[in-house]
Amino acid sequence: MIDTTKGFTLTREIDATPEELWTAWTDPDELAHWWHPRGVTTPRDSVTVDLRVGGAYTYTMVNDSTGDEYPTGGVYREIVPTERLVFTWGNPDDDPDDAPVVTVTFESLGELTLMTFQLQGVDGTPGDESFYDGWVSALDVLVEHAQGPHVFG
Amino acid sequence: MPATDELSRVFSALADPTRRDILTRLSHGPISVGELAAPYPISRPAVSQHLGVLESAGLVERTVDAQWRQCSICEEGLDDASAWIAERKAEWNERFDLLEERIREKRRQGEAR
Repeated sequence: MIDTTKGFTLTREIDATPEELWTAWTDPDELAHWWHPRGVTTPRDSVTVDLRVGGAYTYTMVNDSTGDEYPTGGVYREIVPTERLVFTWGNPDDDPDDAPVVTVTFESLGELTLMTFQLQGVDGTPGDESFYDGWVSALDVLVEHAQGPHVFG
Repeated sequence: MPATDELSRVFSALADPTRRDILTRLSHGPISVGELAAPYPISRPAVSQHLGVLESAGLVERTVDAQWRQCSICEEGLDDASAWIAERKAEWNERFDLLEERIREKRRQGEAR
């Protein structure tokens, strides 16, 4: 039941080229359109992107109904254009070394592109039993708990 | 969006392989503390310390039943945290829906020109 190796991964086949997806993930004009859940808006002037390793990004999500603001940000760790983007994801004031890490990769499948999104351990080095590595393992435990048969109690 | 303190305690508690293993074993039913400690190559006090962490995170309950010290899992502790995770996953899936919509919109704009 408890798998300590997997991360929290989402995959999706998207009708777009890796180049289109790369632009969507790295161009601040594009990020403002989609980098938030529904019911939330990201004002274009809140988005800054310094796309180089060690460079920071920030954006602020605004709840459409309450006006609550959620500043978000992080630092880019790896940049391989159209293939792979690794960045920390958290509160912009937090130490990036303590923030969860997002890895997103794009693989062309012809007309479609396979986008793989993973939230994982510190500095993108899973397997070192660091806090977030365990945190991510915990995600799988919990998701299985939420979806699986009711085995407890 | 930061986790609440209670959730942070749950995730910290789960960020250790021995404690995850303890939870897995307790998910099959309550066990005595001695039985629980037996397979681990660490001292009984170290096992007790792990149990203390799990207990303060609301994941495990220790009860004294006659001479037995029993441990059992607290389902509610995991429920809140799994709901939180499900929300994070849902949020990212919503982003990806919007991402797809945005790319379709850009393609339409490109064709219209």
